[in-house]
Amino acid sequence: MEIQTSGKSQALTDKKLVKVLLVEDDVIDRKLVERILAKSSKPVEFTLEFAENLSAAIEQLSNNKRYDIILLDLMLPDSYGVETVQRVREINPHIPIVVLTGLDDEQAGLSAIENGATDYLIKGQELPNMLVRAILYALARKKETEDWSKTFDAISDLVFIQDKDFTITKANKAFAEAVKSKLEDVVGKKCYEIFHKRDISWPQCPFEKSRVDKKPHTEEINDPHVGIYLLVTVSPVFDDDGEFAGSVHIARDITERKKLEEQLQINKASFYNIVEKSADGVVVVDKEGIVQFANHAAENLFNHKAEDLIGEMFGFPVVAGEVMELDVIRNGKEPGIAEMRVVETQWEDQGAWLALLRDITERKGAEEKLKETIRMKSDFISTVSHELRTPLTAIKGGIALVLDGLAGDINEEQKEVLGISKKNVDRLARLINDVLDFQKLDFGKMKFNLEANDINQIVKDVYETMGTPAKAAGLDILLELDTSLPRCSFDSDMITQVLTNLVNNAIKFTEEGNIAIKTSKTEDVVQVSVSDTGYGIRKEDISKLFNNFEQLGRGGERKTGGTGLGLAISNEIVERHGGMIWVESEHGKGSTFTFTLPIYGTEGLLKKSINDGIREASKNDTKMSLILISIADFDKLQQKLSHEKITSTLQDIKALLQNNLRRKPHRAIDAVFKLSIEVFVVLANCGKENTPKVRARLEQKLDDYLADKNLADKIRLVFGCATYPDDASTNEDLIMKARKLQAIAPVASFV
Amino acid sequence: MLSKKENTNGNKILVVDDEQDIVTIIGKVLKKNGYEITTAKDGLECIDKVSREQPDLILLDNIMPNMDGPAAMAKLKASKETQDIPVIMVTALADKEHITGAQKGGAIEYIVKPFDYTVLLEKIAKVLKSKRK
Repeated sequence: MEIQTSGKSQALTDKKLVKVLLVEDDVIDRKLVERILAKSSKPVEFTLEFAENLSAAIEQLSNNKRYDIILLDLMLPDSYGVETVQRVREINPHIPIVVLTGLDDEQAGLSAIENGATDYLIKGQELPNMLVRAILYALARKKETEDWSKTFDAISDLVFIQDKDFTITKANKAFAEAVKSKLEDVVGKKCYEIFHKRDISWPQCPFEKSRVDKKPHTEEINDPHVGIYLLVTVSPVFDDDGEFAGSVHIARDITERKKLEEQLQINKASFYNIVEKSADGVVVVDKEGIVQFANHAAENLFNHKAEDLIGEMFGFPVVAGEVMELDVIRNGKEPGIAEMRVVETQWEDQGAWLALLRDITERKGAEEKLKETIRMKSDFISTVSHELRTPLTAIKGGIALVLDGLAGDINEEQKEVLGISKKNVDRLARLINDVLDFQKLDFGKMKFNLEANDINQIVKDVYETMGTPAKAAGLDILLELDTSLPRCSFDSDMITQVLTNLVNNAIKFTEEGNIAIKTSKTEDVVQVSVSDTGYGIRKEDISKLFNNFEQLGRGGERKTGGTGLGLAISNEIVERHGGMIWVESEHGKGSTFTFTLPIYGTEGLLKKSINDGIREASKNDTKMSLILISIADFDKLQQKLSHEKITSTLQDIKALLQNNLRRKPHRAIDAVFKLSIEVFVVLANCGKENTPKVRARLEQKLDDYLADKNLADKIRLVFGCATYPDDASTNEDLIMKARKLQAIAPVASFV
Repeated sequence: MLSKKENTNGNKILVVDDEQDIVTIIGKVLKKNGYEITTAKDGLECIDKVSREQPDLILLDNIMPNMDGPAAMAKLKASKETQDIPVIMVTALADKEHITGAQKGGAIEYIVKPFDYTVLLEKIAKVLKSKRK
């Protein structure tokens, strides 16, 4: 009692309480066990309940009473031996059972263990020593098993252990759930029966392989009976003798992953389908320039199978954002032209180029045809206009001859009539000139010779020539020039034509008063305006003014002499220069026509020209060399030579440079222009390897010229070259490179 | 306009044009202004006439059958006897390149059809004056 009390007091603190059911019919034995447990000094406290026979025990177990362990006598009034263990196990499959057996019946104990008992004890002298230990051991073992089972069941993968004949010896909860069975129903079944619902093993089961080679294997299994995708790993298990005993079988449900993969596959397939069926060629080129992919349209464009293209160099320059035209072979058709657009992309996790190729052969053909038609039309206009000139010469000459009395005296009336004829012949002549001019502008035939020029000088020149006709019409021309205007780049002949036209119009449409020509500038343009005190223009007519063949009845009265093309031509010329032309007018009070020309600094002009050259070179896949030629110490030169001498020398140098390049018309490359008064720019159609030769040839020609003119000791030229795309690919870099070379050019010959 | 009285020294001008009407009109204008006239209908005849007639000046049309103006001028400039005879190119082609082409070929002046005959006379007088110098 004392011990129990002390035990109880300890239990209140930290002793574990173990509920024991003793199934024993012998009262002495019961007392003995009771005493042993009460005396136990182990860190547990026991509560003990009795059952006199198996029926009572089963009743107690069935009454939902919780016991931690059963101590079971095998010789009960209503049950005997191993059967007793089996009966208890049926009621509770998990509770630890320690069998108490008689001295002479050790065999029964062993057989009890085989049938589910945890341990056995032989009643007798050992019992007091062994009982508590056996109970604690059985509890510990149960806990261990429980822990392991919990872990095993916690695995979400389907796990079971099977022997070498496919019989499942152990399975986890996930497996049981997957086959919709209880765990205890699974054990002992063949895996293919319970899982695949068939009589022989599943043919793709990796276990078949493991059985042969005794190694682990993994397979994806899709059994329509199961309805889910499984990733099955089978690891062989060996017994103590190293013999193959079965396997651990782990199956993971990969249905979701498989679905995603399938969807991805479908997406990929439809993507390929779209790309393959695309009418445009699609080529993927890696950063080394090697073809990684080509679709069907690309196969046709290059007349090669995709497998022949893939792995080969693409062979065309690919630059993101660029659009270029390629000559293509075309399967089953005559060779043609494809337009290629390149964008950056990713290919197999690497940066790559995506080249989209569109067959534009037919479109080009149509364009060519259209161009040809336009050219023919333009040639026709040109021919007709020229053909008109000769008869007109005869008419004009004949009329003038008679009118001037060279063919005999004529009376006043004859003079008047012939005067009208003469006036209209002159008008016809101007019309022909304007039509020709306009047609040339319209078809881009007119060459623009852009150079740094002084607009005030143009105004003065026009003033000189127009002064007389203005005077004849009783009008004064007033000039108001901004002398601080920078030089800007324009074709002087063209701008002279524009200004002459404006002044001419002003004279024609002004009865009395004067005409004012004014120059001024804003931040980025110079501005020239021609004002008159004439009829002015009606508001509704202003918008039509710059259209072809629009001649307005200014002030309701149409003055003869105009073709209606003059302003259209002027508009075209100004716009080609990057400028604008407009009119402000008040009906009855006069009009002011103004046009602007952009001020490209010399840098701007240089960059614009080089950009044109680069564009042309990249379009034609050729190279271009920038050659800068400057006159060294130009300031000092101006002190040594007269202005006229310098001007004529500069003109000669430019002509010399031009004559020594094989220039084709209308090209940005092979161009020579003056950047500023002492700097010449040559854009030569040659690569890096030939640039020294070109440069040497130019230098030789210039040296010869200077020697010939006795200027060799006065003028020294400094060269600087850079080639696109070898040295640099942008205009800034090209200029920088060429300038650098100029800066370090030797100065020995001229000090 | 020059008057008939102005001294033209009876200079002989070769008018070369395939258009007979032009030749007639120019011929009349020149004759009325005191020049002596000889004519040719194309480049070939021009070369032939030049050696026989020894004109002081040639008015040479650009586009002609058989031999055109530039070809005839090349022949004239290639021969020692004829290279110093001044040539005024008469052209219906007013393009810059044709004009510079004519100058490069050796024409001392050019005049674009249709022209005022007063301008033609001025040009002729100018050329002959500088030749005398």
